[in-house]
Amino acid sequence: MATITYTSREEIEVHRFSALATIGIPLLAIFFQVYVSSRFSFLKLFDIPLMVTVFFAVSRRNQLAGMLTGCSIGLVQDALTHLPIGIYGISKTIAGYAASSIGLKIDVDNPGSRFLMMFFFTFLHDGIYFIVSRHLLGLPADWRMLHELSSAVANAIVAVPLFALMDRAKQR
Amino acid sequence: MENFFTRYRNVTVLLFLLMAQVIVLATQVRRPDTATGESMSLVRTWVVQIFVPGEKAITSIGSGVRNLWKDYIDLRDVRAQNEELKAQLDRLRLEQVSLAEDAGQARRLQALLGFKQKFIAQTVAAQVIGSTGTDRSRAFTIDKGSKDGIKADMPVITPKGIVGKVYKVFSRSAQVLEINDATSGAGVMLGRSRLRAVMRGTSSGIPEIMHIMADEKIDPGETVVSSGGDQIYPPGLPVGTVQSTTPDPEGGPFMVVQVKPSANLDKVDEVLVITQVSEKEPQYQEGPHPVRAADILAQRLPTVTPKAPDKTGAEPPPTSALYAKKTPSTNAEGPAGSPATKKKPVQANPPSQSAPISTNTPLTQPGEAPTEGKQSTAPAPNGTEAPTAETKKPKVPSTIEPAPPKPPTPIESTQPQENPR
Repeated sequence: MATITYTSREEIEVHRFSALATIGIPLLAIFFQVYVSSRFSFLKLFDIPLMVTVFFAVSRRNQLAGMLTGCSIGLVQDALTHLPIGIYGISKTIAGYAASSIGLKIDVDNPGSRFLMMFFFTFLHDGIYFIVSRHLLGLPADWRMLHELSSAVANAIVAVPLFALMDRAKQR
Repeated sequence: MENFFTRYRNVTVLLFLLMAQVIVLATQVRRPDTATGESMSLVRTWVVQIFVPGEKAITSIGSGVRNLWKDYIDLRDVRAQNEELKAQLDRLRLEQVSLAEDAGQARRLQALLGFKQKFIAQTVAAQVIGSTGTDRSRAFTIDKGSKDGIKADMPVITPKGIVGKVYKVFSRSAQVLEINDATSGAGVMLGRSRLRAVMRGTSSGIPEIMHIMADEKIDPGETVVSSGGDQIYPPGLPVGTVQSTTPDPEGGPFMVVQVKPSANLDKVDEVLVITQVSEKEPQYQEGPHPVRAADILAQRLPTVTPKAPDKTGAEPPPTSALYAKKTPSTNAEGPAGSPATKKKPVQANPPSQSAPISTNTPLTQPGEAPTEGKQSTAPAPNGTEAPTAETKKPKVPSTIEPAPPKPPTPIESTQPQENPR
């Protein structure tokens, strides 16, 4: 069995990240999300950990790495809520898998494609979260289309400069 | 078979991860003690212990810098502010005298009617150090935990109103579930109409009062206070104001009342955790020259000329006479301290009078030690019956119509027994 590495497909541009960036950036994103949004509640509209998940997934272009990254980030997010652990985990695992799959096929370094990609993955992530929480667990959750739309747009807008910032952590 | 897994390795791993998390989810949901907060997931404990020190450190550094800056700014206007506060203090003193008079009168009347009240006996101030970071879970983390006496289900308030309840407790931090979370609820009472209902949070963050009949008259702006029926929040704490009323979306006979919380739940910096609530009966202790409740009632009621007391006991004595000190010679029911006299207060408290009161607050649990008010019914050591208000309580409702109980203001009346007239 071939060793799983971030550079296993050399025919397309595959990026690697240092261990510090691999662990530090997701932790920093989660910390920012839980700490700063307690001071500025409007920041709860954004999902910085989701952006990090998508970024790592499309940069590595490896489905295993993408889903593991999403799973880890989601589970940590779950642990910080009062809801059962696994809702964010499932949502971000699927988002990471889908993002790495798309990263194999399209140019993910273009700002326009990054905007559309983040818009789509926010919808996908929130939809999975809603299905799991409402229909699997029976929690009181509502699908608010206007809120989800505005959240997707806001995440897409923020993702473009944030992805450009995180590009500096890439190792070729 | 080997080729299948090799070919679909990624999909297999994806399915494995999802299945594992679904199993973990199912385990949590099925576990009966998860909802009570008594058990804690190890993953949750680890993650919280990793994030809380960082949040605490940044909060303390930020508070230090902010306080340093604020102290400097505040010093510039401190003289003018001092004068303004002095004037405000004078005004408040005048108001306090008036309010103390009303409060004392209310306490005497409540003692007569045997009210039980819940008072906030002890609170712990805590600082908000983090949130969940999402609108789907409206909760936040405070910097006090089990080592500070925090336990699950303790109410959390601010001076403006209730915020939520403690949901999960760690050693040095705790998670507070806000009242507007979709999984949260509270027993409330409307201020003007005195309707009792259940308020629950929603996904949008605007709490709603459910199951109120559509023909009830509820106006926007009406205050909502806690009723105490949920056994978590003490009664009388401000919850919010009515924002709007809408018909039941499911077409039922009820309407939905949306409530705007009194506390600003989007920006909570510091909170008070109520760690102890005492339940007491207000006790009225007569001073040397007390103003009796009967006199106050007599001033407010139409004057009735009392008949001459009949020593045969055929006519009841006038109301004011009931509150005079009894002596063995004037007590027509028997000698003071006799078994008949001791049983009188208990027998004269019919259920028809105590029932409306008992619905307001929970009854004393069986085996609970008697409160101070109850102890006052014991006869005096010299063999005469103690002339307390408790012993005359049964006579009063025959002359007045007991008004619906007004919820107390617990913060202001933490020591009712220490304010004798």
